[in-house]
Amino acid sequence: MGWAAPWAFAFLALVPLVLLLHSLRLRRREVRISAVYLWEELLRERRSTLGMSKLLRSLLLLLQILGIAALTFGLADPFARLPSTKEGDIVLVLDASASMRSMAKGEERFAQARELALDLVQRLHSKSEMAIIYANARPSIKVPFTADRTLLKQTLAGLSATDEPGDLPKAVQLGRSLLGGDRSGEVLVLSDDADPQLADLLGGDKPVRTLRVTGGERNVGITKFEVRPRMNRPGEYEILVNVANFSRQPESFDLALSLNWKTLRRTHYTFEAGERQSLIFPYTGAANGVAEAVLELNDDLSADNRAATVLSDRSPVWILLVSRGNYFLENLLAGHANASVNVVSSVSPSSFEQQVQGNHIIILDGMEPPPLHFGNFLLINTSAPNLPIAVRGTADTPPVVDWDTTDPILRSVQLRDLQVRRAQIVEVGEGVKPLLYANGSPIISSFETGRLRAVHLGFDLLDTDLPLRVAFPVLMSNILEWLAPQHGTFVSHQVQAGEPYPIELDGVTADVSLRQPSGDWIKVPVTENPLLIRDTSQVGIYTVRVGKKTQRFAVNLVSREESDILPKPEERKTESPFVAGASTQETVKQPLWPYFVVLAFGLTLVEWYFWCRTGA
Amino acid sequence: MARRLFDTDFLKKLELLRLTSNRIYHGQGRGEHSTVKMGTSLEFSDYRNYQVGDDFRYIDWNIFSRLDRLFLKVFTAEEDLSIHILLDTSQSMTFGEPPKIDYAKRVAAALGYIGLSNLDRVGITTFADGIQDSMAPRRGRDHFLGLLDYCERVMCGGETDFNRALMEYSFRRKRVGLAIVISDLLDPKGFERGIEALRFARYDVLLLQILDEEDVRPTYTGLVRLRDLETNQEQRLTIDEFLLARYRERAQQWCNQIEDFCLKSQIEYLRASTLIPFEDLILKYLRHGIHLQ
Repeated sequence: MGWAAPWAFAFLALVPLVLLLHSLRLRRREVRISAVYLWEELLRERRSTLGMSKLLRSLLLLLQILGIAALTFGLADPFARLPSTKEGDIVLVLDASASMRSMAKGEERFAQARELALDLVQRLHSKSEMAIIYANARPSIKVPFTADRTLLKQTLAGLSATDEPGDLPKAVQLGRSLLGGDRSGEVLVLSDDADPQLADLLGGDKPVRTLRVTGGERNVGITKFEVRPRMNRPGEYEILVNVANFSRQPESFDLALSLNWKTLRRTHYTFEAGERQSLIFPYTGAANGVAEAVLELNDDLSADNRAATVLSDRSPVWILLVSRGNYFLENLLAGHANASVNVVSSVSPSSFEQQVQGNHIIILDGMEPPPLHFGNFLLINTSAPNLPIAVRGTADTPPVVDWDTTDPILRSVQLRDLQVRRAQIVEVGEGVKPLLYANGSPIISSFETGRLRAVHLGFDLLDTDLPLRVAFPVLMSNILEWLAPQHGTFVSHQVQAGEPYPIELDGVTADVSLRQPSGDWIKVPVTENPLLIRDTSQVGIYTVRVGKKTQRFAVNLVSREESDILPKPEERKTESPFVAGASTQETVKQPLWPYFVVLAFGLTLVEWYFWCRTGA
Repeated sequence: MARRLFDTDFLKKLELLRLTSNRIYHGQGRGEHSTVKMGTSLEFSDYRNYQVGDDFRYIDWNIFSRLDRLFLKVFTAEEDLSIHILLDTSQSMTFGEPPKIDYAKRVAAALGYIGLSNLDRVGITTFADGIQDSMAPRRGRDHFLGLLDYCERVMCGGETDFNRALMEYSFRRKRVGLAIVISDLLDPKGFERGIEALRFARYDVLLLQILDEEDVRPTYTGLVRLRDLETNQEQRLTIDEFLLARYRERAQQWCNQIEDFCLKSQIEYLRASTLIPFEDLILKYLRHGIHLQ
């Protein structure tokens, strides 16, 4: 508290003046009357509720002195230094990552952050606006800029933390984009720890500040959970569990492994502070159903104490390879897990339809097929007459310039500097999706319509160095998976919280429902194929109902960054502008004189009331 | 003073009035008030058989002519009435413009004149904190000047002790009658016990309260020192309209209490302000009562 005009304290000299005036007797007019006892009765009646007259005189004097004091303090222009937001707009980034679910003093860190946010809303400058960004795995704007405090409070009250890893840098970038143009203000991050990547965002004309919420330091978590088959040993599996102790002290716990909720084994461990281990357990037997690893201890973050996966030991995929001989392709298919390959050297038009029906995938290596109406085909250096992929000629050593890495066929496929001696010049029609271009012509493309799926490679494998590159088995695996997604290798269905999970649809079903770990069923609109289930913010087992079929998948946290809930002391030292707390909080001079003036006025009213009541 | 207080017309009007009492008292001499005794007035009461020695003048000869028997007419005896005027001469009676005591003296003189004109015995006593002075009861209009002189000599002073004075008077007097008490009744100790003492001594009481308008509706406001005329007690006050209104309520409440007491005690009570013309009080308001006809 301070005083802007301390000279006004000189007005306190009025207090002795009031005392002097009180010591003087008022000059009263004498009135002679018949009897005063009626007046005395009246005064006794009035004074009975207020006490003795001397006391009242003292009270009046006291009230007058207090009134002068209040008025003097008001004239001295007092102010309080209150932590507050500056005038200007605020983009509030609320960290909703899994670590914000850590328990601190009986409540989640997110609850603390929400309280801070509500306090900020309460103290929001009258001319300022605030926007709220929800920083989970995919940050989003919950409230655009508004001065409506009720809306801001209601929105904050409805938010809660997720089990997802957060993406604070992206949220801050989003916030800074909101502050673009002529808006002045800052991005305020409410988080439990400063993300190291935030430091890169400090520059620029839009300031970024963090307010840290703390509490909760004991945590042991699962950072990885996998079940995989052993090579060349059918029926045998390995269960991998990465466990880390993020606490400052040793922690003891039991690790329980279960399959379909039947405990396979329970092991007791004691981890030193900061200790991390990769635990591998062998398993022999059927691998279908839900496998789960559970850390049995009571720490501050429970989301990483449990990890699960849904195992699916698929039926083998039948492949018909029509080729005059391709060493690389045959060897690759022979080594493909859970694949049965039949090799023929020519296409028989009369039995072609039966062959298509009897195999999941038909690979035509340079062999021209009859018209294709249904089935899954890999067309290598050839095309069907009824497909909208027309070969117009050949080109020698066309440079590979561009490819679509987002498509599942080319996912993780590195085709830089691919050498192609000769490639087809292809003209594609409607429904064909070009994936790889060489000299302006698509040399890899996909086509899908009804019950027909086809992938076209516009070159002979032996005319390229593709079979010699790492990309070849990856590309082939992607193609086989795309052509026959429900068949083939052993699959472990799990994703990290916040990541989308793809569901392969048959192209007809439009009724998809999702059962979340909380038990709620929700309808999922079908807008794409494969359908991406994006709402995976809770860890646990999800069930998807597609038509009459159901399938499950697991969502786990498995994030070392989120499980490490200890504060980072080294960051506090170096990044002082990012250290949340009072030290970086703005203070404003809150004028207090109106309160003193109101107090003085109130005291004057009270004094006048007593003066009237007593009549003395 | 007679000339100053009362003109001839007013005195003639007073002669037409008479003071009466609810009670029937034995008088000391002949007068104009009926008694339970048989006597020689003009008011016929009854017949009785003639006895030897009776006055022939009272034989009803008409009855004798019809019945041939002698009956004697009997008349009600009329005697005088003792009228006791009790005048408050405490210092508070000097308050007002005109002073309440002047108004009270005129009322006392007028009522005394009425009594003397009707052959009643009229005595006057002044009191404050006790009996101050008395004029013995007298009969006949000749004593009116003496009554006026006495009233003129009356001086006010001292505090009021209404109860003590009236109790003292009630124990002192033997010949009871109509007691006319004239006072402002401004006594913090009350007046009820004094009135009760008079009634206990078989006085018929007429209570006249004389007040100045300032007693019940004061107009002074602001910073004042109220000084009691009797006790010289001082009260410092800041009077505003609110306080004035409260005082008027309290004064009205006090007057109502007096009225209630008199009503319950079957005492004729009249409150008069000095603003009321004196003639109106005697000829109008008192005549509406039971003691002045």
